[in-house]
Amino acid sequence: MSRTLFANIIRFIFLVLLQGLILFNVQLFDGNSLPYLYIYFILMLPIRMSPIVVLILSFAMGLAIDTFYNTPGVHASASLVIGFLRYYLIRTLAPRDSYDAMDRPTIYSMGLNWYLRYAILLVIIHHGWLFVLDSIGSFNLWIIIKKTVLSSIFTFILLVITQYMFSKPIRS
Amino acid sequence: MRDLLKLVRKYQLFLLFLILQIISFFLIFSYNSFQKATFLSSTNGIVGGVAKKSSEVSEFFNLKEINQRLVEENTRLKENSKLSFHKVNDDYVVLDDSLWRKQYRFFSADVVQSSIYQKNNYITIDKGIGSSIEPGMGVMSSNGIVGKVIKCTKNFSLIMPVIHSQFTLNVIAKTTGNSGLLSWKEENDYRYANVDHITKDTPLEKGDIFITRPGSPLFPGGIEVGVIEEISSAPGDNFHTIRLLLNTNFGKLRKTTLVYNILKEELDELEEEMKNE
Repeated sequence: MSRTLFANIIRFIFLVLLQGLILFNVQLFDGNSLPYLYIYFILMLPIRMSPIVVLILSFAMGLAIDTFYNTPGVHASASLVIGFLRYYLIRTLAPRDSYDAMDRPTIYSMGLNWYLRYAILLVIIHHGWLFVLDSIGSFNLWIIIKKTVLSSIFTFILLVITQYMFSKPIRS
Repeated sequence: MRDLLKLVRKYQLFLLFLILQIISFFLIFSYNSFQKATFLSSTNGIVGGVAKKSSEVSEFFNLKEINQRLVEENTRLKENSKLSFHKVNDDYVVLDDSLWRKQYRFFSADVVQSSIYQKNNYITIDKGIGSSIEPGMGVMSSNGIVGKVIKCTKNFSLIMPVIHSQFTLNVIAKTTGNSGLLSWKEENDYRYANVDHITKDTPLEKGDIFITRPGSPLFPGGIEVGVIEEISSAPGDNFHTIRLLLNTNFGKLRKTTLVYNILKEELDELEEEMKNE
């Protein structure tokens, strides 16, 4: 348990710095494709973690990113949405004989099929909500859709790469 | 009462979600009070400090280019200085007389963090109240304008650059002297901005330059803002639609110059009086 806690604290700090200092300046297609890898932290929280704790941690992550982006509330709101929906999504995607105590929300643990549905849905919801909030004042559906699709692809590719780089294949 | 508690317990997840979501929306929509709250922005001590360390590392790799730009700016300044003019007639002597009064003071600052792909971009610099920077000061780059200071902490300041959807500034066409309004509302590209309110009969064409208006509280007059990239006018519209290529390259901005207008207080007082009348 303490190992999971330690790993999550390290992951939180690492992802905030990675997002706020490096990915902050990364874009493709004239700024239409922006990576928001920090939600990897929310996706990686233990399956059996209390949804209340998940919600609070998502909010904290969002606020941390907001301070770097100077967008108070925007990332916090989007993170909350997926922190909330994650609980129901995990329940919906549960295998027939429910989750093992050792199961983690990773490709190695749950299989590619499960992970694709899990990650793609949350990424699209997060990005969609984010760009809707971002467009307050100058609403343009076409720009929202374009940015959501292009950014989701970018984020998802980074998610899978990070997953293969940092997740151990051996189940302990 | 027990039933109520039961209900709260049953929906506790949703209730917490709702409360936190309301807090987020409060933050989003209280944009103006955000300018006062500093802890949730990149000017706070921790985030600013981390960003500064990171920019120091990347600055090291860009020293050559920064030097090059400084040399260019120096050359330009020397060209305008007294040294490069020779006296035409010995009858006239230039004295540092009382006809000229200093109106602007300049400070330099390094960029700690800047965004260019958001809808509302911001720049954080490494000087704040401790270095007598205050909100309302203008910010220039080596060859153009950057924006204005909107928030200061002890060691950092936040700048609203031209590439922010709420930035506006009066600019004038160098050749004709017509004044227009610079903004970035419809743009999505950090290299360009728009100029509105220039009437159709103004003879402007691609390549013409816009400069800052003399007497603007933010900048000295006559600083080049940008060059016309596209000029057109929709039929039935009385105004030109002008797309301006900005002189300042926000993508590579590392050094800024802050402008303190010594006469700003007087200007503000005057405007206050006008408003009250």
